[in-house]
Amino acid sequence: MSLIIYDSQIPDLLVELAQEFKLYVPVEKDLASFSGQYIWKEYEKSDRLALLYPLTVASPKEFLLPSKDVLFEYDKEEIKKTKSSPQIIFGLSLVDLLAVERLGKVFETPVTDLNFKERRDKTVLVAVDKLSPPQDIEFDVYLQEIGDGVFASFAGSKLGKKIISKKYFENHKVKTPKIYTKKDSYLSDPDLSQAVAKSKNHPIWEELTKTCFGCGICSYVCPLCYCFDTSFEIDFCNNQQGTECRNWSSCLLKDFAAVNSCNYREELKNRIYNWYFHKFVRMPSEYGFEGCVDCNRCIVYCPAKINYQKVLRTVLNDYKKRTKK
Amino acid sequence: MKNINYIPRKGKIIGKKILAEDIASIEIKLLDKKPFSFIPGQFILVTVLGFGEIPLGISSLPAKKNSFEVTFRAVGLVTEKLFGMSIGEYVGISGPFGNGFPMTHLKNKDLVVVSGGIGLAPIRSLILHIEKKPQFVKSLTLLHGARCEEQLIYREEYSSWSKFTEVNLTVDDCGTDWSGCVGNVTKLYDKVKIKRGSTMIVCGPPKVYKSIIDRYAGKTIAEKDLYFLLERRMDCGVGKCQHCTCGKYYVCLDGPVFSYDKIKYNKEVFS
Repeated sequence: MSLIIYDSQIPDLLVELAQEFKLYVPVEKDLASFSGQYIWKEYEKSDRLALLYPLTVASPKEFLLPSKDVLFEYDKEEIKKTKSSPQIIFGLSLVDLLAVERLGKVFETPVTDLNFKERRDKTVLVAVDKLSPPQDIEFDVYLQEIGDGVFASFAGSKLGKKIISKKYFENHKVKTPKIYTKKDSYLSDPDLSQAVAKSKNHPIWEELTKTCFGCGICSYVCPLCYCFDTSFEIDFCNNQQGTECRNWSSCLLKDFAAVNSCNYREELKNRIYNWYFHKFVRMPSEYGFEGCVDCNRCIVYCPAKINYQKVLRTVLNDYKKRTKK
Repeated sequence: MKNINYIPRKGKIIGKKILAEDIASIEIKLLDKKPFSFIPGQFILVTVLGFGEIPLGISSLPAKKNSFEVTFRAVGLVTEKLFGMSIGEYVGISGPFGNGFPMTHLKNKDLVVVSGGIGLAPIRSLILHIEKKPQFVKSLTLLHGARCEEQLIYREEYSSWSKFTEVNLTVDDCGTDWSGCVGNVTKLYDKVKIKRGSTMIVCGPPKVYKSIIDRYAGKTIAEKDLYFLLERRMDCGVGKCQHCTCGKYYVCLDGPVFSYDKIKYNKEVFS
């Protein structure tokens, strides 16, 4: 026996969940929309849900590490911590769920970022995918599509159990197929990190400067780019009041590594290299995984059509050729 | 540090000195009763509400209780605001962050310190520590350069430092009253005899790095005994924001003090 839910029941489930939590879902937008066909937003009943979305423009990173995250509010000299509210991210693909898991490790080890952790602790994760639920990634509820509009339901936490015990879920004799992703050949290549680490003088970085605008859009759409700036926002009606925010940044932006006396990464090729170095060298050595889940957002939304997979393949192949000799 | 919540501690400015036309030193007392201790070479983030945060090396005696000092040049939004602030006003303090100077390693060594301009600020903390405990090092030599005489910070302290330090100064441009060395800090290399096997700390603009390395690294000074205090944009202090990375290192966590053998091949430090 297994618990299943039909897609026709999901809107009612969402209405109920939205009473208790802030609820974020992937929805389909007007096809003519410039900013993309699928986006994440706070749920409204009129939304056209896009469970099993092919790709959303921005990733669900926004709900755990908001593009503008208020760290604290102040009034004259008094500082007040802001609080986050309980939320559900409903409809994460397995790839985005993996990104959330990794983002959690980044912000909780070795130093715990309490701002992130407080928000993460108040977040319920509901994943929806055609693939089988993962063994080693945290989720509260996992819905695996086993037929057209039919989802087998798995709970990964106490709260998840509570959710799937709601009336919208039914007991059925169904077999859930075991479907897993194939490990990608180059992202799991054991030489990848070393290849990128040893490629600082590779001509590809200079080559990329001919097309890369250094705009940083790849960082903004990436579910695992997490660098940030902090800045103050002042209340213009009362300049004694304001907030300190951390805002998404990108290591591709020109001033990212600049101090008053020196810009330590002025050249675009060095900034491009650092983007790859961080994801494929520094993060693996710090956390044991790459800063990439292969979601392809950075390829789709890059105005210069730069494809990181091609870049990595070139770097990896050249490294293998070099080391064979 | 295990946790960070980005809420700075409240500090009150209890002292202020103008050291040059654009350089000031302020003394800060934390208002909470929690302890604050640091190792020379560590840095803090100073928050000016409504303006921003800046990383600054601590320049006072580490053993000093109840307050500490930072020295800065007014060059940006935050430092210019800080420069104009008065005794009795408040700032936010986070940290201290980073590794600081390798104090255990410095014990009983012939120590040579090379600094330029405002780079003397974190070094002063070490000098004051040695002043209190003269036996801490075998000998102390300072090579310090500034743009002009007026830019030589802590001028009134040099005579007391001279009791336990060989103080060598140079300025790029001088007036008629200056009888000392003229030129950048490299001019002092020929004037000062550095014992083989000394330990050296460099805290100055990256442009002096090359001359130091060419002249001393692996020769008079072993690569592991040559330390650089790196200046980068530290926004968070805990290795999250990514602004201060140098290849595989975070200046805020692994530094800001690095021995040359660790960063010798780091192209983000020595390009």
